[in-house]
Amino acid sequence: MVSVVRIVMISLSIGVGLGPIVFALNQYGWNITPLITPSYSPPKVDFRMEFTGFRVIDKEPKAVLRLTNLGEIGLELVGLNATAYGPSGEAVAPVTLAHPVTSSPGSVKEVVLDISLSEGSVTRLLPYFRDRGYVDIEVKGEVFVKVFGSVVTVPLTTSFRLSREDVKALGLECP
Amino acid sequence: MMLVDALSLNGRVNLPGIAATLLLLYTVSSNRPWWRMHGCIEDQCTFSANISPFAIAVEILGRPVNVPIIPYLTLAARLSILLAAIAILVGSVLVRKPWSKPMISMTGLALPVTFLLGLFIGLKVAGSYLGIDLPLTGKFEMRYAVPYGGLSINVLTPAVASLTDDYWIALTAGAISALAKAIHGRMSAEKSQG
Repeated sequence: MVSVVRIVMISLSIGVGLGPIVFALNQYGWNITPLITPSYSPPKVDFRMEFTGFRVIDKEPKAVLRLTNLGEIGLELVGLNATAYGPSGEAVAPVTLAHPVTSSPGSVKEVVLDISLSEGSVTRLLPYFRDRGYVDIEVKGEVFVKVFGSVVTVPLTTSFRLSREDVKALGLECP
Repeated sequence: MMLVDALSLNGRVNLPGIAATLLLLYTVSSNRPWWRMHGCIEDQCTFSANISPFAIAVEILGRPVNVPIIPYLTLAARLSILLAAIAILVGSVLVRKPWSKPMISMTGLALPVTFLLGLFIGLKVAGSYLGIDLPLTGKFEMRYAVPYGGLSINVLTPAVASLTDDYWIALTAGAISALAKAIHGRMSAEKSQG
């Protein structure tokens, strides 16, 4: 009797353990590949930043970018570690994010960058103002973006034109 | 001997077996995870994995990852534990029947032990595939580079992994079922001597 119960128990254990798997294999035509292949459709992550203008607010220079979120997930710009470079590649000013920006899917937001342009920086750029009346500034660095519980570091390169009028609006001396 | 007599009400019933049955029935009826890993900042999660032998849910960027075989595997695990619980109950109540001994199985203990072992191996394999160290428990940071529009974007995800109370309940159920088996063996030995 003990042996019979043991055999029945072992058979039942094997039956309930393997039964659903055999059923699954039968459902998928005994083809194991589709049965174990994960399926996943990731949300679209697509955002673009482009320079839209240079502004002087309270005698502080600001570069304004447009952030377009073409993806399916929201994101938040939380920081920026960048430097503004002059035409010869010389560093002229550190650039930081004025305030965090939250961007929902499909939205277009303004991103304001603080450019800590000092009188010394302008002095270094004087020769270009004398020649052309403007200076092309390139901003290079990394922008920190919070996306779905991760902090993503994205390389950023953008450029803008600094005119003599812009510098005068800053209250700095310019020839 | 006194302990065996106390735990079997003088050979009338296997009390640890009944306790193991109750815990196993609780375990098998619960869909709560035994182990979880979340990569989140505040309430936003890059990924989450809530895993038990009876329910497996993995989400990346808020979207589920589906593997067709998973519902069948979890059903097999659920039926196995349900069978073990019922068999232990029958074996524990009908303790004087000579055929009750094979009814007290170790499946209840084998499942949480196998689960932990499988999880450990799975994390090692996944970690080597992703090039990061994925711990079984604890806080850690995942750093990886993702190609995006011709750029290499660095991603930092703070994550935490932990075994839940439900795992420890399942392990306790398994340990008690092992105790029930040992007591049953001792009672059978006594009976054959007597």
